[in-house]
Amino acid sequence: MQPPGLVSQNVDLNNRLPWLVQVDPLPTADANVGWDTISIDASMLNAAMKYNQTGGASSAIQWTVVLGAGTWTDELVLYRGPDAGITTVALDGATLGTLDGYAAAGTYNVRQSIAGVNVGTPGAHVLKLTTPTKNASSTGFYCRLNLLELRRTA
Amino acid sequence: MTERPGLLAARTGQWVNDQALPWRIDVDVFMTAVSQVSFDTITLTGSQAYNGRKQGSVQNCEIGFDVLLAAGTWTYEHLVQTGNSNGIVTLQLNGATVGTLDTYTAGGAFNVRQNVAGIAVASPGRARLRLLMASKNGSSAGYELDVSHVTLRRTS
Repeated sequence: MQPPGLVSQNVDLNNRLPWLVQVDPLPTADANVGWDTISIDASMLNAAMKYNQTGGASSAIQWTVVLGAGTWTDELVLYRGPDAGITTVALDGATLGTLDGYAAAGTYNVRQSIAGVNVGTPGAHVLKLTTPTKNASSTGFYCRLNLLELRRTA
Repeated sequence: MTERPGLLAARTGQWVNDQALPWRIDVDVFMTAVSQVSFDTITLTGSQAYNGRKQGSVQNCEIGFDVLLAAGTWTYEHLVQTGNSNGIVTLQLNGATVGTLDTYTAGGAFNVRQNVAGIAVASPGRARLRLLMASKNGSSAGYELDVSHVTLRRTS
């Protein structure tokens, strides 16, 4: 049985954590594999994107985020296009879902989200994006990222 | 018996809970800073991330931001425009210099990321981050600093 003091410690921590966590992808991430190129485009949110320059299936990028225990929605703002891959979103190594960036015609500032993400323990977690797969119609594995947000819903 | 820090925090409400503090702090430089000297000009361009930059251009111009930092090791990073009239910015945390970054280049470039790693923060809490344009490269014609974004990233 957990000592009452530890329970109150977790409750106290959870009450202090934000319900909205935004990750600006343009600064250097905590780690990346082939995913560190900034490109300027005036049509994009913040006039720029961070993309996986190799466009390969092995590219990855990750950030440490401090989250409260609860249910979260993970939302990305990105550019969809004919050479975009399918982005896998993972938290602490567990896949949360996938987002298909493919579109026959290029589209700016598209929001895509994964809802119902359960976080069991408050504290630091590792959020990681990879592009291991792609739509059959796509010519590449690119992910052109403008903003990432985690929004707690419960 | 030593009391766990978290329990102390819950009991007294005075201790800043380190686990609740973020590992990454993005500073939007375009808003009015908590302190500044000759460093409050916003210039919009089509060549820079965030659509532009905040600029100071005289010796000893400075800008400060209050940030809530967890204890640990941090990396400071800014995204700047470099050029032939840009100076060397001194980074200070609570008045102590933690590093310098030379933003001079002969040719100039947009969206350059520079960083100072290994900044030790001993105690969690509010800290004043200060960017002071105190010196310059011998080849530079001025003391300009053109900054579009600032990030503090905790690494351990």
